Amino acid sequence: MVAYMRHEPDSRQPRLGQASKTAYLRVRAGIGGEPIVQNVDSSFANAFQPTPWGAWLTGAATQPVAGDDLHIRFDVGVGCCAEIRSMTPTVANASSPDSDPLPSASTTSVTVARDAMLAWCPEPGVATSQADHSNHVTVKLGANSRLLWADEFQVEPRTGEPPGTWGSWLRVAREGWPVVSYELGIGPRSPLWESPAILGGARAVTSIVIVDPDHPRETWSYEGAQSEDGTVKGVCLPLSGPGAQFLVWGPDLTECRAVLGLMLEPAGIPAWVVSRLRTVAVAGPGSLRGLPA
Amino acid sequence: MTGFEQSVHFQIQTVTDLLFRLLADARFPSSDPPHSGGIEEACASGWVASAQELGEFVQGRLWTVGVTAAFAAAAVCARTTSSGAAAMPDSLWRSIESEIDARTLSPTARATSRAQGGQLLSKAMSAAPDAVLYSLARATAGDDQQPHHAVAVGAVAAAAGVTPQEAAAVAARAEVTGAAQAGKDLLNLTEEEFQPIVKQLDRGLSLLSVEAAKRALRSVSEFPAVVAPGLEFLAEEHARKDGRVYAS
Repeated sequence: MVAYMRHEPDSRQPRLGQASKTAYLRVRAGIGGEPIVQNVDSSFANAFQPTPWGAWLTGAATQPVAGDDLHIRFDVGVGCCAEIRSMTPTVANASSPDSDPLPSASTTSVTVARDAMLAWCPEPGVATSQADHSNHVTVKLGANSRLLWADEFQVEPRTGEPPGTWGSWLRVAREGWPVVSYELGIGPRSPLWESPAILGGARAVTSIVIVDPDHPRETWSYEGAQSEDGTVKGVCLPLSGPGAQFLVWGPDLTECRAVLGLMLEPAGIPAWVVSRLRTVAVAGPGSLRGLPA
Repeated sequence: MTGFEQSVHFQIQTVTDLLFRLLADARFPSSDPPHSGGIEEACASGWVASAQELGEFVQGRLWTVGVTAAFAAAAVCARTTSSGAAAMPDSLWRSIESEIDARTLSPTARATSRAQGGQLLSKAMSAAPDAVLYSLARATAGDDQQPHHAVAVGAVAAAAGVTPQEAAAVAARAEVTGAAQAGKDLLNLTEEEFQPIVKQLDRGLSLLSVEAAKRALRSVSEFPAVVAPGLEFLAEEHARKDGRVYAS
């Protein structure tokens, strides 16, 4: 067993101009820092729908299916302040009830130019039975740029079926230096998923990465939290650079978010992040993105 | 060979031998009290209560923090051996260090690794003033920091003339032996219960060190980055408790 071999970084570059391959959005700053679309392109599975605050990332309701290889690219121009949201969860499906279906993958490449800000808060990823999805993300930050990255995923079996597998690979680099590099996987195809040292078999993970140069390392404090029954665990870990990562894992995302909500303010989270994590963009109490106030 | 040459040869042999022993000795550079790699907290909070769970726990350590350590040590050892110490620029040391930082989410775990690395490096430098070790000390002193343990292992391994594969095995072993031993003591396991865990670790270690050596000269940013949320949680909870037996 070579456990780390599963979710290797994908070095393939999105090929621009091939609309069927990569969903692409490039924005620059308007007078007030608001995003102005410079270039937008959709792929067979995903599209960006620009709005005054950023864009909706949309996809077909059942994507990605086994064998899919999706590419998404987003560039934020100098001084621009943009947000990405989605309306539905990304649901990875095995196309047929084979015993050994093909894996699916999506690759997201994001650049945030200097003095810009990006809040990437789409709805979570869900892997249904037999699905084997891996999600590769690379974020390149310029000098003095800020980032809020929400990476949430859950394995959701239909009744009586085994859960699927979701692997998440995230690398954030700031001016060429790595800030965070992690690989997390849940589900039966994820090696050592059940080890108590790793995720103890948790079916849902909420990971929030925040990079904010105006909010130095000393202003973050370590914060650990657990749900009352101890099934959900969460930590806020100050990074070695100016930022922090929140990691919460447990039986489902609703409970993970409840524990995340307990940790945000004691950890010393900046106001711009709180407001964005708490905004219910779809306006409605049913939205998954709404955190408990 | 003259008597003088023989004695010089003998001295060099003993110095590298000394470095090698420094690396291979499982008791070094553990501090007093020794590190348990989160197992003390895991036992206290009931996450690990049986030999099987201890086995899963140490395998979890091996294939997460152990992987990072093995790849970093092999990378340092292979690069210094192939390029010579003088050609190892500060920026390369720092980029390997920053890749470990980016993969070690818990501040306590980062500090533990640096404290152990600093101890190993200073012991090794007093044993053998090797150019590789000075190069590492110079590169990390600039940030008023100590090197990560795996980086120090890689440098000492290069100075001792061992292969990247052995360096990887030493670095990964350091991440798991303390936890396994502490788990055995805390759970009162018998030798019969403990031996299968050790055997499984040995198999994993040899697989991992071969793989790390094979990919040692690849770009450090491409190294695996499997993280262990459970370990990060335990490390931080443990650091905030009184009445601890182990340092981590």
